[in-house]
Amino acid sequence: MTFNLRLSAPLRHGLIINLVLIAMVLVTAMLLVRWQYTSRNLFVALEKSEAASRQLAGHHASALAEKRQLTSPARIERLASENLGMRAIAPPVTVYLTQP
Amino acid sequence: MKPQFTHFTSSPLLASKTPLWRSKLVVLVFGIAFAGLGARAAYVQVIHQSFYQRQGEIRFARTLEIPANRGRLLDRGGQMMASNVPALGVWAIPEDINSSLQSHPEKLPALAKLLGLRVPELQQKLAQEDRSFVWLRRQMDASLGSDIQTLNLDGLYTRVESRRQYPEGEAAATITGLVNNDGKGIEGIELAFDQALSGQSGSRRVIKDRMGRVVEDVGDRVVPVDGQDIHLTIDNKIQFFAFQKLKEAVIDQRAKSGSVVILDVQTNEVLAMVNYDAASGKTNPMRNRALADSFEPGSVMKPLTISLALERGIVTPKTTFQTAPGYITVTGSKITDSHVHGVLSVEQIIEKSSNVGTVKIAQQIPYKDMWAFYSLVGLGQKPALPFPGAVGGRLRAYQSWRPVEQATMSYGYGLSVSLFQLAQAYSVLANDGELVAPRLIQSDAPATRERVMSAVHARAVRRMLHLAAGPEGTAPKAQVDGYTVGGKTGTSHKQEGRGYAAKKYRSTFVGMAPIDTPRIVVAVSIDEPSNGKYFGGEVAAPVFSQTVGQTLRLLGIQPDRAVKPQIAIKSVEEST
Repeated sequence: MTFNLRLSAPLRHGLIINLVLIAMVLVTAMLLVRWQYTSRNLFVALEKSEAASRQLAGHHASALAEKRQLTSPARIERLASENLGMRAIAPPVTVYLTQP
Repeated sequence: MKPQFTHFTSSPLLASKTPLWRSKLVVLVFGIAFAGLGARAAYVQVIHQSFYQRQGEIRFARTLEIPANRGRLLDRGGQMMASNVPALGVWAIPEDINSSLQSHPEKLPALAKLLGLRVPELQQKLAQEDRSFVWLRRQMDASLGSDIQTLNLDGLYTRVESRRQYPEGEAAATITGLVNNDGKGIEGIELAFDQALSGQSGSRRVIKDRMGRVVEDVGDRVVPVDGQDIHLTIDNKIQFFAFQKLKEAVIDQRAKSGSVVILDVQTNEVLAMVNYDAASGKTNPMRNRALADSFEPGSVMKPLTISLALERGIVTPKTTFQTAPGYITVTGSKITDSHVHGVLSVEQIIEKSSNVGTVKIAQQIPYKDMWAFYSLVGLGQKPALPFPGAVGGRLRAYQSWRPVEQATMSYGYGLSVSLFQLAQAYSVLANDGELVAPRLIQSDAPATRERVMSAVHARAVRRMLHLAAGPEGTAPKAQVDGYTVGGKTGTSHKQEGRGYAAKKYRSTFVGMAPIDTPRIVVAVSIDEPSNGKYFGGEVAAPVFSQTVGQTLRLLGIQPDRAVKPQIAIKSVEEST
């Protein structure tokens, strides 16, 4: 069986344009879906990075607090007196220099 | 040639011609169906778009709070006194976790250990099966989070939160105060400046997928505003040494508690304010006794009474009074001295701490003047410090005074003050007669000053205080190597019921150093010493001495008194 479809030239051009447009719509629709997917993945990655950044900031705060605790006068005084046998200075064992 | 059509079948049914109305019906049905879909699409997407969008958001959109970081507390040198660190809150759904623990009973002790609880304690928490949420532990060390997850128990969850850390520990606990589990200030500076420290939380509207992940932001973010840092006037080293000396004294004297306040005279900034409770064996951060406890101060009031008498021209430092036979009777009440001193000058009245001499001077002062002066130096009113729970003490209106009340108030009974108020009142003497508004928070604004008495009289009273802390005074133990000091002891009976307890005392010493140009005022109070000694000169003065020595050294103040060096100095030539 054969079909002999004869279309006029303007109709044929219109059909071709429509087909091209349909193809473009399909392609852009698929691209849109793909970009949305990529965008969401990137967003999730960004969220993870931000969470990691917050965690690191937390670690930094903890480290600073720990450092401060390790250098607190109470600890230094205890270590100096117990481990090194040091004592707090007093005027009789201090040399005061006068600025010329 | 015409095309030849082939008949595929000879079935009459298929050969019959399809009626046109059937195809039209199919087209119509499909047409109506599509029109219905089109109408529904228009209804959903155009007409009721906002409603459906809202409904969709309700199912997938969430508003997340973006917490603001709580501000830090810093000392005068910028050292951290309080800051937030990450912590973990552990919660459970009892029904779920119990069924999980039934199949893995060996995990119960491991969980209890991680949570820092005893097994029965944990079981008690998990016994509340009627509840769908139970906190097991809050503000845990964040590093334990992975260990808890390793247990892999159903119904056990963790939540990230923050914990307040105080590196100075109990030495500064009564100043910093503390926060509750939700990070809200409940005492001390944490409470007083809670709003400024808390900042403002932000928020964001997000879309979450079915896995609970945030996949999209909806709308604008409200950015959180972090809390401000609060810069205190406290010096963490001075605070620590004062606490250390106070703690030693409270333990040695088997006292109930003690407090020390150190003020920088030049600015009236609080350099240290420490408290120690022997009963609990540590500092109670919920009670800053130096500000919140008021007591009858005893003899430390005498220099203030005499300051007023000098200021009114009633006496001079050399005016003499007969204090023999060691007592005086005021409207039937007998006021006595601990020793019979005979004739004493005003200077000696302070040096020997004579009640009789002070009463004789006070009797020449009008009630109103005495009340006004005490009020001017800050007694009977709350200190202008932003601190919760600070008390103003008790100074009754002069209209209701009786002669015996004026007499007892002159040497520190019948009125009550906090230790901080005493330090503030003595700062007037140290500041050549000016009252400088005290500060606990650093500020660039100049301190407000008010003249309360003349500089000449303030210096005269300082000389008297120097004598009181001298070898012939009541507090030779207040002396400090290398520095001249002055101050006054106070030993007051404690009130019990309607009278005074026979063997319960409060020992106080308030003084300043160096005496000619004071840099610091130090007030020490020891409550109920019970190791045999109870006089202020024996119990509180040594704490004053040690504290002053350390503080002046830390402030870099050169000694103003010759000391015998205990080190050999070898001179060296300077190399070029």
